[in-house]
Amino acid sequence: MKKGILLTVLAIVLVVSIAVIGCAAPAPAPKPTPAPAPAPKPETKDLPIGFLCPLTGPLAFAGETMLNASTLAADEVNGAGGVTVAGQPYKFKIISYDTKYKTEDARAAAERLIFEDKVKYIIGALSLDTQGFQSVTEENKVIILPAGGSILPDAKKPYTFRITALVDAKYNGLYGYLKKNMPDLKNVAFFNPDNPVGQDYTRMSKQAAGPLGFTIVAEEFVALGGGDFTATLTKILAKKPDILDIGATGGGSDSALVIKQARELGFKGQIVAAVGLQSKTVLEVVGPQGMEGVIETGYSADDPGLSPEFKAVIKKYTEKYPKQPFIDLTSETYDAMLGFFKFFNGQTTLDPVVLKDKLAEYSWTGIYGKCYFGGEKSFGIKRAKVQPIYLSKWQGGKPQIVTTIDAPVP
Amino acid sequence: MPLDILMQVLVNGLQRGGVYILVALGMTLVLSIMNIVNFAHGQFYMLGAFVVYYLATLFKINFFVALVLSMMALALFGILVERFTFRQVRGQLLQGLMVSIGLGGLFETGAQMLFGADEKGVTSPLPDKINFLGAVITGEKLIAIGSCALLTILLYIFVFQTKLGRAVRAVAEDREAAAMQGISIDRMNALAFAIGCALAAAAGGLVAPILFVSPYIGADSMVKALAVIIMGGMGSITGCVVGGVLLGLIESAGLTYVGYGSNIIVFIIIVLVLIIRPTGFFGRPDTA
Repeated sequence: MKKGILLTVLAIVLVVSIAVIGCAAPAPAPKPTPAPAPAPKPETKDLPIGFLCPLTGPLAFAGETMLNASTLAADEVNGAGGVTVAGQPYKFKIISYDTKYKTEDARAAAERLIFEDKVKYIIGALSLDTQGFQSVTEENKVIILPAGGSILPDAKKPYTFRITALVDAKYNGLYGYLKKNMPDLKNVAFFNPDNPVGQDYTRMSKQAAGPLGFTIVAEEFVALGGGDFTATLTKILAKKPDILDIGATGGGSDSALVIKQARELGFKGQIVAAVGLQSKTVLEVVGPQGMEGVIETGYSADDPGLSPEFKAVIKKYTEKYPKQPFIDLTSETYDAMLGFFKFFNGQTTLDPVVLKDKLAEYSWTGIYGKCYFGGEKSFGIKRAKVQPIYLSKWQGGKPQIVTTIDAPVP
Repeated sequence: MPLDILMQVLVNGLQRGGVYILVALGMTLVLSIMNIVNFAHGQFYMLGAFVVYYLATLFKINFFVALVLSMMALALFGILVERFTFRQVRGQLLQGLMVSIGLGGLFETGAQMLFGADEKGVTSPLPDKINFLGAVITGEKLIAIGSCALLTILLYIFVFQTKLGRAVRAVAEDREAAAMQGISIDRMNALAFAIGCALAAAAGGLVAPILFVSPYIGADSMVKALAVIIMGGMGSITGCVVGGVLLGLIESAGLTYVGYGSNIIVFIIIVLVLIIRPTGFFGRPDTA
């Protein structure tokens, strides 16, 4: 009986199945299997990069050259096809704002970049700029790559990556050179601006000069901005220094005026600057005679000691920006930005939380040679760009490289 | 107190003071005749320096000729500016103030676009320097001190010894009464503005070889000029001279003997002057 029922059910299922298949559309004639169509390539998107620097005012030269260098690096990477992050191609788009080298303007500009332009990475920025907005960028987890001389790595500020060589390293190299090559020089006078940067530079230069046996005879702070420094220099020169250290005067017009006025007051001693001086400005204001013998941590763009790669970048830059001088800030920015832009290629995310740790372990070969971020032992976090430093002495109207300092940051 | 340091303090102070005097004289002239605090005055100083730079350094024209040409050029430019801007808002204090602030920004930005942001050095008209009782006096400082003194004397003669100068004073004293005497207020305004701009240009041109030229050199000079006018008294040539020399010497001595914090001395003196004698050392009560 049961067997009969089972057979009946199976027969019904069979009939229904045949009926369904019979009613269905006839199967198409078999075709040769086509090759799978390639997945459409995603459209290239813009990857916004914020740029903050003084673009007007006395430090506009620094902002302009950093913006030019960053644009050159971005153009180079974009021209080679851009970068691909998690399968998505990107081209860099730089959005720049003027900080006027004022902390409040810098902060407002950073907030605009973060909240209106939605950027996650900000480049450029000198010391006061960075001091103005660093709390905002850290709070909002925005990676910044400032160039400010007094911006030091800080374990509590993990989103900040310094892109210029550490001033401590420059001072150590500079005073080490003076000790070795000019042993008669003993007394040092510091001439720095009356702002936190000037205080930092004075501290760092004292830390470098003191242990080497130099005697600090004067520490003066002045308001920068193209003024008359003769009164302060009169005070300093009365202390009979052998070395006049003009560390944080910026390398531009203020540095030039200090050198010019010190020479006018009869100072024949050694002038040193832990900064690259702007050759055009100092030559215009001081003249070649007054500059003779000055030691700086910059270089001349036509120095034969520069590598072919270095010279190629200078050529590219001067062709694109014929009116803009190529200074050490230009090369340091270009070097860091090219490395930073290339760093994105092959990443799996754009999230700064993830990328900050990867960037800390990243190294690249730039025009200075091998670059990476150091400082874990000294600062508790790897956030200081490490690169060789040039030391140049002015001879015959231009600086000439006298030595290259390896400046590791442990 | 070594004598050479003291002498250097005096030289530095006189050079600073001389420039402050020229800028303040031009500013106080415009202020007393037109009742306008010209916040663009520093930018005329800057433009004057640029004219000297282009004429003396690029076109190799004699420095003194370049200086005179710069004064003439800025005087003419000043007449145009007065005619097409300040005259339109005459008697309106706030509007005049805003126009001057706007013009200052316009000139500064325009100069950056036109001449570039980088600093330019002006070749020294007298590269030698002399040593006087241990103080070093550079040629350009000597020229600046001498030229400031000469221009101040010339302005004094113009204002107090010429008919036109008397007309200018009359407008400063009582505008309506001067107009009733047939003095053209428009012409006197234009003349005062032109002289003010020429003096600013002279100051900028004289400072150019001592410091440098850039679009941003004007703002600081204007602040100092205001301090001089407050100390010396509005509308007073003697007040400007005394205020300028005093400010220059205080700054020079303070920075040399005390250091950067000495800037506060200037502000303390200004506050004391405003409390004890609001008209300044030589200002009249009605100008307070």
